[in-house]
Amino acid sequence: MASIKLNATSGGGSVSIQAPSSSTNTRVLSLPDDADGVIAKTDNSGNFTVSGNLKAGTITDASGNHSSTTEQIFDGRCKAWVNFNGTGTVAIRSSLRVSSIGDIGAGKYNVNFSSNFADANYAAVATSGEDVYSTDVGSVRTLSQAVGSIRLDNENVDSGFEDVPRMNLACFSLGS
Amino acid sequence: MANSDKRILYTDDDGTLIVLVPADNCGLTIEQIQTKDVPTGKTSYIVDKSVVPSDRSFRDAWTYTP
Repeated sequence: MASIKLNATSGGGSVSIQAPSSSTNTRVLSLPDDADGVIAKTDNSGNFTVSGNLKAGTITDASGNHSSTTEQIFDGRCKAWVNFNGTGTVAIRSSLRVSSIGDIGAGKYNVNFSSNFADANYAAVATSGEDVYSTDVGSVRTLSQAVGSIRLDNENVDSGFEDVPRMNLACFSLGS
Repeated sequence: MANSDKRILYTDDDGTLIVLVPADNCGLTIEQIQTKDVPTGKTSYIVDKSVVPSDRSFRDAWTYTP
């Protein structure tokens, strides 16, 4: 027979569980059979810690304002990004959901995603940058946008396609 | 050895040598990246990154012979 324990770790006080007096509905509190016995805890600073997934419909600030549904938070997350060096030994500095960078020519790169987007309608934001000040005017554009990859071309208006030390891409989409 | 210590080389349809720079944190092995990111039917090679020149002055003229 399982048991329910209510323990105070220190001091006095009390713990109460009350059923709603005006309702005939049964309220159910389900506790999983968790191995270490602690599934959630609070501390004196108001922090609430959950050992597993926290499932919530809406999250707000401490005053109940600035609410966001978990769907809004998920949809607003950057789903894939990469920062890489496009000069010398081309190398990825940091990335998310990127399997490889294709060096396909001077100033031209192909970013391959480790998992496909649901469709090719994601918003891709790309920038290129130098490590030192330069009067050169360049721009990066996206091409061949597909569910599994996207091409970036960096072009100097004076000298054509050009390698640069800072290439960045961030992709946003609804869903995954 | 990390994925990023390697490069995957293949030649595209117009003769350009493509150099794939694999990511370390994508959950895929270098062989899995090779299978996924190299177009079907292309012969590709996994090489140490030191094989690829860092001088890119003539990048568009690069070729590779194993």
